[in-house]
Amino acid sequence: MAAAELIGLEPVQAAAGGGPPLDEEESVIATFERVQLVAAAQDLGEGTLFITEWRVFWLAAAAGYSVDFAAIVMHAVASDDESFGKPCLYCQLDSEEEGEGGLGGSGSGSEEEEAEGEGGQADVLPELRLIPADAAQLDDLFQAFCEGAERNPDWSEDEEEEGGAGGVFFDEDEVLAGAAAASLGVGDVEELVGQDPGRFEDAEGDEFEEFGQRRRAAAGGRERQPNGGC
Amino acid sequence: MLFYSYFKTLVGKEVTVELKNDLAITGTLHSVDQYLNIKLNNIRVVNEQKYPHMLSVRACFVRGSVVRFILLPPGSVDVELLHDATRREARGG
Repeated sequence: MAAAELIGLEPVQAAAGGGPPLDEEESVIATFERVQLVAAAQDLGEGTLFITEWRVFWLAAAAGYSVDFAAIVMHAVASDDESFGKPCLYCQLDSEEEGEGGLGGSGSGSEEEEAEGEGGQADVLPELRLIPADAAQLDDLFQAFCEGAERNPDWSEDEEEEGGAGGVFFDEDEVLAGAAAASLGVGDVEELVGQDPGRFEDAEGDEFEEFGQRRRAAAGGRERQPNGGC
Repeated sequence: MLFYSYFKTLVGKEVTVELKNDLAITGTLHSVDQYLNIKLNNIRVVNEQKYPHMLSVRACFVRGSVVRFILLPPGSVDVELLHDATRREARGG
């Protein structure tokens, strides 16, 4: 059991009716019967999988676990030795307990390794395998996890995009305004010219002349330089 | 939005997605959404000595927030178009 908790699965008790212990405003969207769970290479046997708006429950007679979709880094259809060669849904979990940006930035890599080294847990990959007894369920399971991930984008993005409908950065008017300006070919040059209509005019005189002017100025001449100095 | 629009043009092409946990997966881009979640088909794992069990993966879904790099197919990079689009986005933003 320890392995499952180590990789971030939350132990849960089944609710009175035998279903998952749901929060308020949470409901079961899909149920998959007879799904074997292998967590960090430990076979936990067969249970029932419940998918809700923001997490996944796996409940068996002996144990129950939940994991948030937001903590699932990737999921894939696979079959390998640890799923006993049977097709499974392979999931990798976020390995940092409360990292702000999912797996964390590049800077946290070494700290993580050190921590793992001290704890002697370096070889526990945070991964799950869900093996449905009926392999035909696998595509539905994959799809359900895709939809779950799409319903649960990252916390940080939610904060940044308040009021944005589904993470759209520009509204239609902004896009059209940008496209119209671009198609007219205005914008770039006018913006840059700004208050200085002569900005992109050819420079007056060449380096040789400037050199001459400077030399004259240095020689004590008080004449005003046409370029306003340097 | 630029990345999303651009990656959409790569659907059906082969890309390599490198995750922040160093797993790198090459596959055919099946779809991408506005969170840059990515679905790949026909996968192979680039650093398979580290992830030997990933050899058997057929299709996968990667959460956008854990992607570190996406290696693009060189033939699909229209530099002129990207140049134009980034400039437009910079001005708009």
